[in-house]
Amino acid sequence: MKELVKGILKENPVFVLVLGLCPALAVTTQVVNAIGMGMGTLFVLLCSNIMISLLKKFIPYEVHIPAYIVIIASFVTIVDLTLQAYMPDLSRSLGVFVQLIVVNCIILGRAEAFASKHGIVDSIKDALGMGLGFTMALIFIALVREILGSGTITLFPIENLGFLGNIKLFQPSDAAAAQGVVGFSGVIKIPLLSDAPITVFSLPAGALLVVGYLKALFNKSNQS
Amino acid sequence: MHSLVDKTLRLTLICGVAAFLLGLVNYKTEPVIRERKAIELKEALSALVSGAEAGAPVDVEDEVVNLYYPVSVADETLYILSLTGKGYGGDMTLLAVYDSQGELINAKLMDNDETIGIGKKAEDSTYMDKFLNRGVERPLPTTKAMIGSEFDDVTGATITFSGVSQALYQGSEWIKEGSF
Repeated sequence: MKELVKGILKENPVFVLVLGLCPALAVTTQVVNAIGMGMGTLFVLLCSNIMISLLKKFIPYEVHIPAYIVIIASFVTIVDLTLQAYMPDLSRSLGVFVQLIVVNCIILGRAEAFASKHGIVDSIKDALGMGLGFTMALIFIALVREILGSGTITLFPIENLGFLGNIKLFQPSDAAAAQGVVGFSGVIKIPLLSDAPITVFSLPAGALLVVGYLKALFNKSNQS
Repeated sequence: MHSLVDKTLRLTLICGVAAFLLGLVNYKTEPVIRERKAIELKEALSALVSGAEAGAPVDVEDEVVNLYYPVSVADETLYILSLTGKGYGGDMTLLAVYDSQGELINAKLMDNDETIGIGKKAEDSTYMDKFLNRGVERPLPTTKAMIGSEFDDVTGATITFSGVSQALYQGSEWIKEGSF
């Protein structure tokens, strides 16, 4: 359990280890991007940790970095092709940052520091903890940035979502509205903020500010 | 020597297994991706010139203009040009509709690797408004100064704006030269 929880709190990759900051700053303009990037990284981290843990005795020390990169790049390419084929909107939103998971310090860092020295069960726990910690950090950053910077929360659209009694829960998506079906467009508008957003939070400077303040909050809560 | 061969073989084996696995994934996903791109292109072409169907594409040997689709609308022939612009994340593909004088009627940014939240704003449907109905009497804007301060979606995305505006400008010039 310790291996699983440490990545979420005590050794959170973004807020404590300060790893993977490039995607954390770049893709967190919308919550849906943060979820997609987090899940992609979690998948690659899990698969690469499993493979590297299984192959740790087979891979010679002198060529371990190229071997790890080949394994990680293969899983990243699988994620990239799968997103392009089956989730094109998300693939378009994440752009080049999916391919950049290959050089995400968290993946290579966990392979080198953990999976290559531990058994498969511990490596799976470590990957899940670190992956969930990374996803959680991205979602926190994206929530703050999107709410303040755009006045919205963008999630995955859902077709065929009904009413709660007579209360319309969400704005119907275009496709659902065209068919006369009530669905969720994927965008929740925040009253007042959506009309007058604080644009700096959508820009790179806003990303740095949010990461800085969230890191301070996280460190404070970890100390207490 | 024996050790070097052993290491090389092990690394080669890992690469071979990875290549085989990627080949399988590519075999499954490539037709889906190709079909999706064809549908996206068809939808984009019909959205750009509503009520008319684009003709067969004609290849062009030009640095910016890749190919064009002639479109007959009433008595007029319009041209949908596939253009390449230089963006922050590399090459961008645009589809732009011009009349026979070179005036821009509609445009859409297609494939690109621009930065999320910054250059990606060029994908928004309203981004191209600043360029529309320009190219003949009013020149197509190629600098931020030419569009005034009413469009704030170019803020912080100068390279994307330059890539888009230069490609649209070159497309208009290509039409004016009567190169089709």
